[in-house]
Amino acid sequence: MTTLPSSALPRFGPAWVAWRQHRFALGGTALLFAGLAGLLLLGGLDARDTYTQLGLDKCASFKSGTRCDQASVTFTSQYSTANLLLIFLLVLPAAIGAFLGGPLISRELETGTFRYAWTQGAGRTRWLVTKLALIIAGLVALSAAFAPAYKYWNAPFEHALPGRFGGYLPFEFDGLVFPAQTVLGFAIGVFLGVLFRRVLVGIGASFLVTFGLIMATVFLLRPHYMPARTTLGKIGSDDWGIGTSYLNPSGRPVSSADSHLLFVRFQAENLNRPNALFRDWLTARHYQIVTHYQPAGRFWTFQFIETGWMLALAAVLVAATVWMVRRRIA
Amino acid sequence: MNAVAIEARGLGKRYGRSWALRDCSLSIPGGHIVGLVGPNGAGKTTFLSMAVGLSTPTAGEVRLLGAHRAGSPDALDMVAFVAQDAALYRNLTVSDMLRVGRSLNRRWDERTAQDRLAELGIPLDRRVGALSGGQRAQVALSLALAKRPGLLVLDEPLAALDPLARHEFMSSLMAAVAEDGVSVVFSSHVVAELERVCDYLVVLQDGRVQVSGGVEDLTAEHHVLVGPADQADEVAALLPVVRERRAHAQAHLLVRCAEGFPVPPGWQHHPVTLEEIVLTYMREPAAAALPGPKAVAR
Repeated sequence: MTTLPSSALPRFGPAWVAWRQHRFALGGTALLFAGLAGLLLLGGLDARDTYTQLGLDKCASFKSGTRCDQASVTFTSQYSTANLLLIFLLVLPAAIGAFLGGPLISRELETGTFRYAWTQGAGRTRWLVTKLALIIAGLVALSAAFAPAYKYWNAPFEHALPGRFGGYLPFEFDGLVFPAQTVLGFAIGVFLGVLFRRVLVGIGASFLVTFGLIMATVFLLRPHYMPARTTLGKIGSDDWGIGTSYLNPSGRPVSSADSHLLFVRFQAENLNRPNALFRDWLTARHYQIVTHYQPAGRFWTFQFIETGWMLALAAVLVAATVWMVRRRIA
Repeated sequence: MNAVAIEARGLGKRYGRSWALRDCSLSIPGGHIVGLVGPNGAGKTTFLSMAVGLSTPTAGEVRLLGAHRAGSPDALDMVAFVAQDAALYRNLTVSDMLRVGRSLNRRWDERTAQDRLAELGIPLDRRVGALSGGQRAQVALSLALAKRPGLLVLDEPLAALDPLARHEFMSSLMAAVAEDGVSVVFSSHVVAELERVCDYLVVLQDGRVQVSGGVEDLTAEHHVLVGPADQADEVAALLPVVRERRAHAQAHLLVRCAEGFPVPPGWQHHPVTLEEIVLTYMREPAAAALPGPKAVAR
């Protein structure tokens, strides 16, 4: 209990204030992650049991028609619902960002408490930067700690059906991307909260924006971070096939409209043959199939690209937030 | 603490197209309890917001306690602000709120704050939101005084309080001022209590300073003259009239001039209360009583 006027702020003073105000939000996030991690670990244990019962642990390759291939199909289809539900993990950065970031400053603006906070000796910039630093550090730690839980669940599936690069969730959780997405979601939430100055608008808008951005990233942007390679042969099991196109018998590329016409013709000719493959039909007519893919070796490059632009965007939003708070009318 | 407490030069604040405060120049000497009054929308909150650094002026500038620009780190250290409705974190306990104050300030007097709250019987473990309005205002005042400010600014501290809490709040404010010698500026539209509390007065009207001066000077300079209505124009030609009211054969003139002026024969002279002066000026937006330019010049 000091009574002496001192020339410096108390050590960790602003940090204590940030912690005291946001410990429930951070604690809630930790609980959410812990709960999800618990589910993934339990599910992972169960999946491993099935995996060994099916003898998949002794399989080295999954050539089609072999016993191992059969077993892997049985295995993945048994857990297809679970894996489908897990797609909801893609919502996490948007949800966490909206509920932690959206109200962070807008609640102070709405209730008027900023008039207290911004007139203290520490000043509003220090106050804001401390808050942001503390929560971002917390979110990075929590989201990075959560990623292994998904990896634990996914390991047997990845062995039976490789897809670390092209699979949505393995890419999120097997590297740097998930923490970066969470930080970006938070930065969007804080920014929109200050912009609209309303808690509910901040939460809603930032959830929609972050979720939309992540969906666009996953499905539209990510496959094109680097120009795809093409091959007439087969791609490796760890490569990420992002599309196919065709060469006509004289070796010229077929436009996508013409490809569609080809497919319609194939369907018309094979109405009674449900097992017919478009691929075989094309080969029989001397068309060549081109696979566009991102080679497995680019996994980390892609991780760095995505983490890089997301953190850069988050930094821009944080800077914009600080600027708005510094000059904001009261 | 005799430096100028607040000095505004050409201060203006525009929201969109309308000016909430315009061309406001005033100099409030230190060591006073200053009442800032004016009707709703006169620009009181706007002025105080700029003085404590919450908002930035559109034009002009405010300097505090000598030379510190409003909102600068030095000014934030030396100025304490109690916002309207005591904007504290309602989900925090009083003792957590104290720790917030301690954590965010370089100067902090924990002992005095604790003693004040104990004296007022405010439980430290109670949530701020569970306190009565009067108690909450007292907590806000304790937090502000614990900064050991050179200038204490309060925005409508009395508005939400019942008469008893109002009285207690002003008493403890005055006691604290007597102890610390802190300069106080508070805004209010409660005109009735001003005379008991403040010794300096600023009246804002339509975003401009209308009256500014020491309470003693103001009451000494204003007089009511009552006399025959048919002579009213003659008197008005000799003395600056703030307001005149004629009823039947009698005229009431509120004039502003130094004490000891010659009362015209056939006229009666009455002193006026501060409340009456303030209300008169608020009713007469065109009238103004400002100190000469010497007080503003530096």
